[in-house]
Amino acid sequence: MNVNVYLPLLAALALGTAGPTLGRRLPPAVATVLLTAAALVTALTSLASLALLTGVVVLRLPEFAAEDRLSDAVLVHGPVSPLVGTVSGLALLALLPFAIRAGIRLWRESARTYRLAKAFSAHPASIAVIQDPRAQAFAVPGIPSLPGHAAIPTRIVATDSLLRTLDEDQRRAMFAHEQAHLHHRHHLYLLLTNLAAVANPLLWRLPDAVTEATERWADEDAAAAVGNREVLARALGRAALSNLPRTIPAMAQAHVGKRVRALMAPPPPRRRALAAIVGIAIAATVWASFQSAQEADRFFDSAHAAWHIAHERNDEDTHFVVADLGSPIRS
Amino acid sequence: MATGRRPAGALEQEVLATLWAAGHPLTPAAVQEQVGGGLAYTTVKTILDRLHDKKMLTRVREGKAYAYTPVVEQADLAAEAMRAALEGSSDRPAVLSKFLDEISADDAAMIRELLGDSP
Repeated sequence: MNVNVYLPLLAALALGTAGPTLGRRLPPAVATVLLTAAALVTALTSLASLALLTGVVVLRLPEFAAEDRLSDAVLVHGPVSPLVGTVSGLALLALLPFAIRAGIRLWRESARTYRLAKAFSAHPASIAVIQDPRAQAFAVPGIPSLPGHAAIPTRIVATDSLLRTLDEDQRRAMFAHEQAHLHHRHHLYLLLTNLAAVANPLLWRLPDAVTEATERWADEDAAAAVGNREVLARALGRAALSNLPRTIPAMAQAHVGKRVRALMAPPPPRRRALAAIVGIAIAATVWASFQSAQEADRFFDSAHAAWHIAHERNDEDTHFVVADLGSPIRS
Repeated sequence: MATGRRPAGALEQEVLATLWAAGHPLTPAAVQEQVGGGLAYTTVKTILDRLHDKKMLTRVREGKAYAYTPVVEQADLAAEAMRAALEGSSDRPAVLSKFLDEISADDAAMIRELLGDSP
């Protein structure tokens, strides 16, 4: 089997390693969309590749080969060595516990967000204020109406501490930031990236990278809406500093510093060339996965055809024997 | 008109936030002044009336006008759910976007420096 089957695995490895850095280089909206698409594509195609490599070798086992009417002679010269197949199978098994752990966490988090959205759906206004000493706000996503379920509206929830900490311009910028999350449905990108990381745990760093990109996206959107980058930088800085005595310092996923720095700098460059390269890489991964699937399909077709040819000849051989046995009697 | 760029619900959010930030009852005129952005008095009055109808504000008469105060959410279902989300806010939430995450001491120093003495 040629290089096509390994490309998705390389892509997943590359994305898992370089994804966060790549996200920071692209403008945030582009980064969000491309990282999410890349995560989904590499998660699915890399799993398909591992399954293919394992499958080609597993079907070599005599029990499976006979069952599926595949020719031993063709299978032995199969495109995947037993070693590669075994390694792929073990890799699939090794990823499983991580996938289960990530899956359980995602399920819990999603259920918690759903409960939150449902609890606030009865709230009479688009904003809810709760009393808490921590300065914080949340964009609670809505859910469109589904058969048997009424729609759940979007809500912005803020603590009274946050509203008191900010001045009126900063509050406006903060609301614009939360509104940007809801308007662009950032929760869907986060959900999809998390699902990709569940499917392929090599992508475990992607959800955080997409979280950072969506925060930066909402920041840029809010800065444009209020027509001032610095006012949101000050809102973030003031609120974060007011929380300082209560926070656990030096969290690995702290983005506030980067966000403030980005807002105090000019708007990010477009980086069209880099975005195009990433887009092409995503398309190439899909193409490679498709090619390797076709190749595997052709291989199994030939193994199948060889089995039938071999068995039909056996039938003919049997006829010959009968004829030979009969001939002495006739003569 | 400056309010034309505000998305739906934004006025309601800003008016309610202003009342919360004030910490004491505000008349429509005071709200109009503090929200800014060139809001018309009648617009502010309408929003305050609507929030009062939704039982999110209480009002007391102050001279010729009413002065409004936000109603504190009791320990209801939503507040409980929110508190649970706040408790868990040191973890990275999967799909819920929050305004802030924790900052490191280095970030705090950088923010102070970037924003000057009074951010």
